[in-house]
Amino acid sequence: MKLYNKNIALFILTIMSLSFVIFFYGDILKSPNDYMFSYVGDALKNYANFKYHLEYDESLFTYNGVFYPYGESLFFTDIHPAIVTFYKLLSYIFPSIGYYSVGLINTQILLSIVLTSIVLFFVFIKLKVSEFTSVFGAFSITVLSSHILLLEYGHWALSYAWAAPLAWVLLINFLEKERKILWSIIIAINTLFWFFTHGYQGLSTLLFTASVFLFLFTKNIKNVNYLTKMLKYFVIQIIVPVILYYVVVTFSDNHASRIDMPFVTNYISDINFVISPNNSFFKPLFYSIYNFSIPELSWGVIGNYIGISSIIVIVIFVFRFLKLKHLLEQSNFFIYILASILVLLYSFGIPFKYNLEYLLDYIPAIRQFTGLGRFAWIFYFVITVFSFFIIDKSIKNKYLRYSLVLLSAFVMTLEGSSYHYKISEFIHKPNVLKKENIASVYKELTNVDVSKYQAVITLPFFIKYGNPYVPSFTHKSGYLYSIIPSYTGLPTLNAVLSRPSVDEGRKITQIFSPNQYKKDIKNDFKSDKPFLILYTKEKLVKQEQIFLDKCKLLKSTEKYELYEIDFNTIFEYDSDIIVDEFNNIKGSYYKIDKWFLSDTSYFYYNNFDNLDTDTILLGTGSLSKNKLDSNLILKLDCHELELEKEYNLSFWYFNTGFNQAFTTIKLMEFNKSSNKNDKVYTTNPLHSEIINSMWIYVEFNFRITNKNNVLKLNNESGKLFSDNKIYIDNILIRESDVNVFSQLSDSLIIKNNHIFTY
Amino acid sequence: MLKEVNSKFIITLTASAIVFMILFFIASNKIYTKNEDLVFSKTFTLKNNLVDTINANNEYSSINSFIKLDSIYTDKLESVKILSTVKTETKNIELLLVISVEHNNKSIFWKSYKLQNQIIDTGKWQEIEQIVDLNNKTFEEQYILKTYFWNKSKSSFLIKDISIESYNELQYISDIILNKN
Repeated sequence: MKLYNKNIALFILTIMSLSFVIFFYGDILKSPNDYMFSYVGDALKNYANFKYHLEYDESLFTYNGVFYPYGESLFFTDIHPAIVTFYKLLSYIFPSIGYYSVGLINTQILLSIVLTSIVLFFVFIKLKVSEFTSVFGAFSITVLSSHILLLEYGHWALSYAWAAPLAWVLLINFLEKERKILWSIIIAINTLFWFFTHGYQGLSTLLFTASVFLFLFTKNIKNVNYLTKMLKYFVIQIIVPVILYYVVVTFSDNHASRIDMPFVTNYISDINFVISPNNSFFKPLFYSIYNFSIPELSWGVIGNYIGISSIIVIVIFVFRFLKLKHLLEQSNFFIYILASILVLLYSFGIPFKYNLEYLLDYIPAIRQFTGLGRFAWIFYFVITVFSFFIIDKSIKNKYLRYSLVLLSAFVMTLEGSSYHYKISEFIHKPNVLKKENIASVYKELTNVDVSKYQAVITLPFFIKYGNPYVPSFTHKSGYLYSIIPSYTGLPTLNAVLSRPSVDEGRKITQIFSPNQYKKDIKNDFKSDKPFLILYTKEKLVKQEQIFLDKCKLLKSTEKYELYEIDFNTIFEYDSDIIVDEFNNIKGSYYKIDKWFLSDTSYFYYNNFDNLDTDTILLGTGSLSKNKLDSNLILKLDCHELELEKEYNLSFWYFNTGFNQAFTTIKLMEFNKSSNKNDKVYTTNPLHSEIINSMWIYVEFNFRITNKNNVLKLNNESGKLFSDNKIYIDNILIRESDVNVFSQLSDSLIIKNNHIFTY
Repeated sequence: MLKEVNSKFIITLTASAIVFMILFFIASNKIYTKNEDLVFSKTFTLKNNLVDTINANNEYSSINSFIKLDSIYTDKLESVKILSTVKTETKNIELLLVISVEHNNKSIFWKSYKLQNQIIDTGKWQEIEQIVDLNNKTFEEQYILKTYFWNKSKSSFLIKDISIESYNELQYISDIILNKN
């Protein structure tokens, strides 16, 4: 008979959830492939990448639409690997499935809302909460879950709020049922599924499960039999999924040198974000009592707010703890709450934010998870369920109990609906990834004969996120870069990826460097077909403009221009030109040691060959120093420099990934009398545009203001990646309009610190 | 007996659910009004056409562009776009754009942005653009949004045409996609 009640209750809950979804998202539900949840943040690229993979990728586990010619492992593309692989397999039977990509994602998101309420209902039932409370508790907790706010940023896989409740309901089954091996295997499969859907979802379920085990072990620390028995379940539920995930991701990923993420605090949660609303109509009330905002923490716009009714119930519980503490002992609630608090502390960045980042070195894989605030949702679910549990179990009068459940759920639902009103403002029609919806001015881009080209390059060029080189992203280039791959299947060299290989990113960025430098990417291209260039007509950096000048214009419109460039034009280098130039100037230029100058002006050169260093650009040495050591690189008196002339100081800066990033190089004119800098010039060396293998050319143009001053070249490094060395080679100072040559060997000429081999 | 109890339960639950949902839809509609205008139409632009000459003696630009927030926007501000035109002698200057929100000469909010990466050429006027994310902060009336340049390297340069306009990424991208931009 109970089962009957349960089924009716579940049916009513499903109707409530569906009517909620229809109320807020009815238009999308009617025609899911015609709307997009958002155009901003990662939304367009996450829709587009999903679509490209289904329509054009030949490989199951590699995404080749961006970051050409390297592509990216499916596990780093934010397109729900487990789910997209299922669709990909279906696409072999139904080839047109890719056309419905946006609709598929939208449907998943909306079904997730209903699914979350259903899974929560089972959590309540498993905790022996009455069906009445279970229905309204599950519904209101689903509505107040702030996962939905991530839709604004295109984080589709993170909006699936049912991951944590599902992990919980499986844990309850494991603890209560007899067939523990079976439930352990189911939990392991569930954790793996979420890892293969989104790393954060996987780690959330894993952390919660592991924390529950930790407190079970602690509670039964003296019971050796129990510990021995539970250890094997721990291995199945925690160790096996981690190993399997690690093995699959490692063996399917052939991209080395991804960023080893530093600990960042922007996306950690805080107790303020748990107990105060960011959107609810109660926000003014809360903020009239206390200013809960923490401007330096971006996570505040999402938060993990548990609702005013939960707060009131928990406060009452605390005040009546002695009388109500028996509730904690029921259904293992004490363990779940402690486990969720432990995960909550991690989401607050504890203990790492207290200058204990080095602890992350012991579990390097954890470093990849920087959005720690997302783990606070475990606490959100446990504490809100507990608040309904308290009402259900502590109030004996049925009518009062029903009334309080309804009131609590009503307030919670009203508060939570603010999220859905907000998100519904971001929903847009049309689905711009459908060919028929592209703005007419861009329509011709879809008619490009892609068979003529191997890839497209969008200018301004960018490799966004996890890449330290020249950042030229604009919204227009970001949008247009997704058009040609999505509509034609032609891959692009540009990329918006969270953890791309830094080495591969450098090789791609090096395409824009002058051709005398060997471009390592040349042999990585699988074809010698030309490249299509899509230029947004926005401001370009110097090397991009030089690159564009070499391209052949195909079409010019008010909004964009299309060019093409031959494969060889990108790489061709005629060494005879520099050799002829050098031979021509040799006789007429002034000679100082090995150098030929067009004028007898100030000249300084240091190749650091007197230093014993393992990392060298040219010669036998370079300057190397720890990033945080005394920051002086070079110190010169200004008395030999002329006040009215402009000088050029250049050098080569070594880099491996991010190890030499987060460093500013400063050129300062120091006034000894005032003990202050009269002038300071700064640059981020990794944002310089000319790349020669692992070295980057950096230059300053400067003038001095006082001949008694001292010129200092310094580095200032932040604490990120600070336990690395920086290397600098070949510092050269010349007048800006004076040419300086040197023939360093039979096959190497230097011109103004640029290197030419022949 | 059991059947009767279940019937009661079903009736109670169904009636509660219906009333709950109806009240919720009515109440939520009254409390939260979906206001697309908030995103799309409450925009503003302030433009200052004066030319400011800055040299080694000026640590800050003398033209402070400012706007009283109550005159344009009393609700959340997602971000603002600051445009200006700059002419410099050298690329390697340390020039920062500062935006601050002040009230009674006290800074409520302060941010600075390095602009040197945007300076590509020397000796000619170049447009500088900086999006300032205000994270949908709610600013009260009488607050003043101010922007100025911080000449940290004490270099010489010229600045003109400083403008501040409300900026919304969604609006901007929608304009590109729907071809209004």
